Formats: sequence, C-alpha cells, structure tokens
Amino acid sequence: MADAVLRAPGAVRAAAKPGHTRWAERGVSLLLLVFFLGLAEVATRSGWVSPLVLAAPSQVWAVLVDGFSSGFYAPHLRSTVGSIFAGFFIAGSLAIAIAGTLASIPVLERVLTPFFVAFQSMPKVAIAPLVVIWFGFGELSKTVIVITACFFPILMNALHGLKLRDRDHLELMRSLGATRMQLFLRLRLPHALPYIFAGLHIGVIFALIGTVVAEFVGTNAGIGYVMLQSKANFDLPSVYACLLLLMAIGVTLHTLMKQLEKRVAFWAQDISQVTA
Amino acid sequence: MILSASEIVSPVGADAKPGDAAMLHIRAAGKSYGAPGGGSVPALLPVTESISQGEFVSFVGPSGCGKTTLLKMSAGLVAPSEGAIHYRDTGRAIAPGAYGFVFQGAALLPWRTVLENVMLPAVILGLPLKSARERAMRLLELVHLGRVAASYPNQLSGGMQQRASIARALLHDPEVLFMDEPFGALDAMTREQLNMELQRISRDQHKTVLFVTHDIEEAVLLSDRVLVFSRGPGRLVSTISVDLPRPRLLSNKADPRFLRAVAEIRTLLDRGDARETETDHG
Repeated sequence: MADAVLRAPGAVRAAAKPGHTRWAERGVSLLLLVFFLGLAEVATRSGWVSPLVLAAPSQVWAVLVDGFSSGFYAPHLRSTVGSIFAGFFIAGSLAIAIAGTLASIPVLERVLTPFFVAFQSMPKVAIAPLVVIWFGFGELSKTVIVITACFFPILMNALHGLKLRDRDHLELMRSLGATRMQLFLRLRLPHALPYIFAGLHIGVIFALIGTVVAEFVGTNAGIGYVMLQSKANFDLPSVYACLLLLMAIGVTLHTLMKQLEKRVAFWAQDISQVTA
Repeated sequence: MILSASEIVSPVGADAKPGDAAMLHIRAAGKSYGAPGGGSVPALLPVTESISQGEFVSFVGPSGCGKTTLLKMSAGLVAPSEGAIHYRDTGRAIAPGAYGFVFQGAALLPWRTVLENVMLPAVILGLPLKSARERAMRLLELVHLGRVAASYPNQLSGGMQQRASIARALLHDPEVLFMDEPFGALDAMTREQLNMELQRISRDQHKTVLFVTHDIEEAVLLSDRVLVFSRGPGRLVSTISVDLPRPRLLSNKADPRFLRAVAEIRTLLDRGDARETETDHG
C-alpha cells in the first residue's frame, strides 16, 4: 500500500501548454513585479506618497538584510514557525482521530454536528483574547489559539471524506465479507485521504493566521509581535519586512502541502474543499 | 493469450455438468419498501426459481422491474422482505466471499493499481498473497490487461476497467458470478467483444452466472435461460430457454432461433408495458 501510494502517475499531469508559452507568461509576471517595485520606490523617494503609507522597497530590503545578518529575526521566526507547526500537528492529529471515531459512531456524529456547525461559523480568532485570559501571555496561549484556528477545517473535511458516497464500493466490500476494520482501512480511510489533505491544506494556512493573531494579542515573540512593535514606532519599512516574511512562510507552507498532497492522494485531482 | 483459462480453474465444479444440482433456490422471495405514511410498496413480487450449477441465467426487464433487487437478494447483499434464497442445501444465503460480484461501474478503487485491485479479494479474504498475485496476473492476461497491471484505473478506458473488475470477481475462484448490468455503460462494439470474452471465461472456468441486463440480444446471446421481468410492480413474467449450441458467435444473432427468442422476449415486455399503461390510466 505504502509504495503504491508513492508511484504517482506523472504522465497524467503533463503540461497542457507548450514550454515557451509558459516561460513567456512567467517573464511577463516578473516584469509586472519589477514595474510595481520600481513604482513604489519612485513614489516614496519623490514624496508622492507619504512614508507613513508606503515604504521604499530598497528600505524594506535593507531592513530584511540587517534583520537576518544581525540575528534579530531568527528567534522570532523560530517562534512563529514553531507555533504554526506545534498547533497544526496537535490540531491535525486530534481532528483526524476525532473524525475517525465519529465516523464509526454515527449517533455521536449526529448529536455533535450542531456544535461543530456553531463553532465552525464563529470566527475562531475572536476567542484569542479569551484564551490569553485563560492561559496568560506566552507560547501556551499561542499554541491553543493556533489549534482552535485550524482544528475545524481539518475535522470537517475529514468527516466529509469518511462518508462513503459510492454504494458499489461498499457492496463490493460486503460481497467479500470485509470486517469493520478492513472496511475502514481498505476503503474509508484511503477514500478520505484526499479530503483529509484538502483540510490539512486549509488548516495549515489557518494555523498561520492563528499564529499572527496570537502574536498580536498575547505574546512577546514572533513575527507578528515584531510587526506590532514596528507599527508602534512608526517603522514602516520594518512592518513591510514582517509582512514579506509572513508571506514567505505562507507560500512555503502552501507549497509543502501541495507537494505532500500530490504524493499521498495522487489519484484525486480536484476535491472540493469544505472551508471553515 | 498465453495460458488457457482451464489451467487456472480449481477442481471445484470442474467435472460437474450444467443441470447437475440446483445451486440457488429462490423460494417466493420478494421485496417491498416501507412507504412514507405507513404501508409498503412492493419492489418485486415473490419469485420462485432455481438456478442450476454452471447455468448462465439473465434477468431482463425495464428499469424498476426488480431485476437488480433479485440479483442482490440472491447474493445476500439485500435481505428479502418475504421468502428466502438459499445456496445449495445449506438452508441459508450464499456466504460472502463465496461469489464474485461485478458492478455496472466497475467499482475499482482508484488508489490501487489494476493488479492491486484484482488482488483485493485475496487481501480481504486473507488468502496467501504470493499465489494470489500470480493468479491475478494470469487473470489479467486472460482479459488482455497484462500490460496495464501497474496502471491506475483512471488511466484505463471504461471497457478495460470493466475487464479488470471481471478479473477481480474471478480471483478467489468463486462458483457463482453475479453481474449487475456490467456492460451497460459501454459502447456497442466494446460490449459485443466483452460478451464473447465473458462467454469464453464462464465456460472455461465452469462458472454459474446470474446476469442482469436491459439488452435483450445480449441476454439471449449469452444465456441458457432468460428471466423476463416487468414493472409496476416488479415481477417475473416468464422464463425463456435459449436453445442455441455453444460456443455462440456474434454471427449467431442472425440465427432464426436467436431471432425467435428475442422476438418472444420483446412481446412479453410489450405486453408488460401495455398492462402497466392500462393500470396507470384505468
């Protein structure tokens, strides 16, 4: 099973467009980026735009280079990325375990579903201040906030995936006399994998949002915290530098999940995601 | 083809001739579903029949006539609301794992390769995997899929997927094959080709086959007997024996005996429809 999962059929995903067209498109994207950066640079240097609105890209770059070379960013990056991963892993394992349990006890799922829907509809970041009251300033609160932020999308997607819609598959298993365990391991779980990954994909991005919110309301470390301090000092270049760092973290997480998804759930191309 | 099918078959049923013993006893088996607001709606009025070992029996009729219900009740996948369907003289339904079931939509698992899909019965039934793998490869050769054993189902055409699902249904060498409109979603050419392959396989491997279809010609070409169903409510109208020598070829479709059987079934179905219309309007 495990090695089967890694032999993704590459041919199926062959590019539809010829190579040179794609390179041309990338070139245009790059030109656009250079154009906007140049525009921002000129606008700030010439005083068209107040330095309290926009920072010159060259200044932002200088702040970034300085922040990395002086070692200033390192502990904050560690704190932010660390709490994303900690919260994401705890929430992910919990959500998948709970989804598995609920899927095998339909009564429990029906009883609890109204609660899930209620929690899912509530903006999770809104409970961040409450969490800080409960757990105080620091890493614990941060992790708890991240868990609440990414738990529900993972749970809802996993629950969705564990529901079998294909009656033939179920009857096939019954015709062979499959046990409940076999049914779960050989049918339900693999069937749910693409959905679980869709949930994890949303979850990891929600974990990033949760982390930043947590850093805004209740810690003294992390990129979100640095951003808040910079804002208090009207240090616009540093605020933009923090935004760029968060963007880089987001893009990296997204790419990682995409790769993982392609490998583990290679048979499913587009699963509609249940957003929370 | 490298190996003949008879090399694969186990001795079970090898020297039993068709008609030796009843394999399935259908005793006044019917199905009805509860209607909203009490009462029940009959899906299939009680049917009494018996299916012999090695027989190829088709269920023909319009949708909603209960033919699939009878097939699933025969396989023990659906419980009859009245009567019973017993396997041989066991006094009970056929056991899971003792038969192969082929679904209209192939029902291959998309995360398993073709070979792994064919091996699924061995995995579920806990059969030795090494010999199952060898047997799966031979079955794939038998249905001309040896070269795509390592592919995934989504890389196969509908006809190839259905061939793979037939190989899967044969893996554990069951005595009986239940087939629910297996070729219903395929184009006419592929369908005729698979008809011929199914005839060859079922004869070579001495399988008893229960075959649901809405294609009258397909039913006559393949079957020893055709059970004709009608709807409103679903019921067995008549049983037609097809007296054509085997192996049958596609060219047999021009045989007067073939045409007579087809015409007879058509008439029965027309009469069923007429009666339904009468009751609808009267």
